[in-house]
Amino acid sequence: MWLTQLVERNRQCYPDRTAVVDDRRSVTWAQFHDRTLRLAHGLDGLGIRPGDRVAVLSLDRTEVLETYFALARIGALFVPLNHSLTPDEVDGIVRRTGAVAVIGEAALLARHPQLPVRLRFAFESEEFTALGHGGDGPRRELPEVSDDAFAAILHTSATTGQAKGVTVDHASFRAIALGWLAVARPTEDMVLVNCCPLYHGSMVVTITYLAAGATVVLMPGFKPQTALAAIAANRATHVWLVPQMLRFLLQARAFASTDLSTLREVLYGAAPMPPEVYAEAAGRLGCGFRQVYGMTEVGGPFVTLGPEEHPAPGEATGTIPAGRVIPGMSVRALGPADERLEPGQVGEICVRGPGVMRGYWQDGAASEEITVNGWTRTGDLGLIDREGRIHLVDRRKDLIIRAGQNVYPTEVERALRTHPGVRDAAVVGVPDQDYGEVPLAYVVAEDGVAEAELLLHVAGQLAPYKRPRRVEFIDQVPRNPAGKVLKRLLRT
Amino acid sequence: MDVPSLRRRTGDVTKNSARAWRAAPVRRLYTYDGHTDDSHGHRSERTRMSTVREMLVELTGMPEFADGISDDTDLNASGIDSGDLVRLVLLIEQRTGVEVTAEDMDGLATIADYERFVKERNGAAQQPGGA
Repeated sequence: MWLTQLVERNRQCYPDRTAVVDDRRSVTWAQFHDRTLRLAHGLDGLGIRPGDRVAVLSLDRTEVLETYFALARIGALFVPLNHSLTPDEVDGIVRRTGAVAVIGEAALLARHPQLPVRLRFAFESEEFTALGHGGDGPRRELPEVSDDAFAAILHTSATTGQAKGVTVDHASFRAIALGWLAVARPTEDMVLVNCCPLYHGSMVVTITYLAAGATVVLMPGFKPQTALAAIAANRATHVWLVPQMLRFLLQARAFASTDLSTLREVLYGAAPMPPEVYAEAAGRLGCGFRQVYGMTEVGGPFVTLGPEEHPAPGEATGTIPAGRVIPGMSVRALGPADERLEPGQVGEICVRGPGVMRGYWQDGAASEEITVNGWTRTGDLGLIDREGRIHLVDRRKDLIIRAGQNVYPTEVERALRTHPGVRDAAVVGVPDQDYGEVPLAYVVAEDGVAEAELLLHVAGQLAPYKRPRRVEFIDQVPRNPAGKVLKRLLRT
Repeated sequence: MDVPSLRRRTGDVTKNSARAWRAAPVRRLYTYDGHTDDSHGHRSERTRMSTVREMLVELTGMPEFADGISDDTDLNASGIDSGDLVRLVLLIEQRTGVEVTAEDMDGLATIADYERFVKERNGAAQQPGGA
C-alpha cells in the first residue's frame, strides 16, 4: 500500500514540513496524514469498500490529494475526471467505471446533476467537512491494502474517441516513484509548483515528488500571472509544466518583474519542447531543465533527460532527446515485425516494467492491442542511441497533442459528421505557436454549410481543447484503396 | 495507387464568410486607444465596449459563441477553453502595454471585468505621469 506508506513515512520524518499548498491553505505532513486518515474513516463509514470506484471532479486543490490518499487507504480507486469534458463524456466515464460516488467542487458538480452515483459530496459542503472529521458513525479498523490492489483509473482518450480507463495499482506508483527519484535525486528542501492538472496522467509526477517529502504547490488552473506569483511567494525550487505553459510564462509581462531566482529546475513534458522556447527560457531563467517523457499506460514518467544533458544557454538547441529510461523500467525500439532493433534504428518505442498499467478498465481487447510480447506500445516512433538516450522522431498514431492534452482525430471527425450537412471529414494536427499543435478539420459538406456553423455544432459535443481551430472545405477526403484517410496529403 | 487530388473550395461565399469576418476585427484591434471606429469612421460606446469581446472572438474563432456570452458571465464557466483565456490576458497585455498581475487576475472573471480593467489602466496610462 505504497500511497499510504509514503504519507506515513513523511509524517514520521517531516511532521512539521509543509506538504501541500493551494490558494486557500497549506497543510503540514502531520496534518495531511491526520486529515487523510480521518477522511478514510469517514468514507469507510459510508460503506465505500475496497475495489469501489469514486470519481473526483475538481480543479487542483488540497482536498483532491486528500481524497486520493484517503481512498487509497481504504483500497478504493480514485477516478479523476477532466473538468473540461462535456456532461456526456463525464457521464460515460462514471457509467463505465461504475463509480459509486462523486466528490468535487460544488460549481463543477452542479454541471452534472444526473450522474448515476449513490453518493455525491462537494468539498465546500458540511457533509464533506464532517467526513474529514471521520464521519458520524463508529470507526472500524481499516482494511489492509496490498501493493497489487488497484489504486486508480486514469483516463486517456482513445483512437475510437471514447475515453479509456487506465488501471494502475499501488505497485505501479511505487515503481515509477522509486525509479524516478533514483535519477532525479530531489533534495528535501524542494518546493514544486505544479501547473499540471491532477486529473491527468501527469499527476504521477506530482505524487512522485510528494513521495520524496517535497512541498507541492497546487494551482487551480493555469494562469501565467498566478503561476509566476506562486513561484515567487513559495520560493519554489522546481516547477512542473508543459512547454506551452512555459511559452505563456515567457510572454507574460510579470515574468520580468518576478523574482524567479530560487528556481533550480524546470520539469517539462507531455509535448515536444519547441527549440525557440527552450532557448529563451534557458537564457532568461538560468536554471536547469528536466525533460519528462511518459505515458499514462506505462504508469507515467519513465524516461528523463537531466539538466546536465540539456544545451547550455546560448548553445544551438535543435531537437532535445527524451532522455534515458529510469531504473526498474525497460525500453526497446521494435521494428515492423515487432523485432528488437539495434541502437540508432528507428522503430516503435515500447516499454516493460512494474510501472506499466494493469490494463484498460474492462477492455481486454484494447489492453491486448497495446501489448506485444509483454511490451507496451507507446505509439511513438524513435531510436535509442548507443548511450541509451531515446530520441523521438514522430508519432505512430495520428494523435494530436494540443498543449499536452491528447486529441484523437476520430473523435473530432465523428462529432463533425453528426452535422446533417457534413458528408465526410478528416482531422489533422497543424503547428500552432501557442499550443504546439491544434486540430484542423477538412470537411466535405453540402452547399450552404458555413465554418462558424460547424465550429458551433461541435462545441456542444467536444471539450474545448478538442475542438478544431479551423475548418477547410474540400471536395473529397483523400483515401487509399483500403479507405484509409491519407492524412499526409492533408498536412501538406 | 490512384490518389484523389486535394482541391480546396474557395469560391463559395457562404463558406468563406466566416474567414472573412474573422479578419475584420483584428484590423480594428491593433489601434487600442479606448476608442475604435466602425466602418464609417464613427466612434461609438457600443464599439468601444466590445473590444475585449472581439479579442475573444479573435482567439476562439467562434463569433456566435462569444456573442452568446453576456458581459456578466463568468468566463471560466462559459465553456471557453482555459488556454484561450490565458491568451486573452496576454493579448490584453500586448495590445495595451499594461502588466496584469496575479492580484489583478483575482478580479477578472467576466467580459465586463476585463473591459473595466482595460479602461482603467488605459486611462491611467494616458494621465500625465501615469504608469
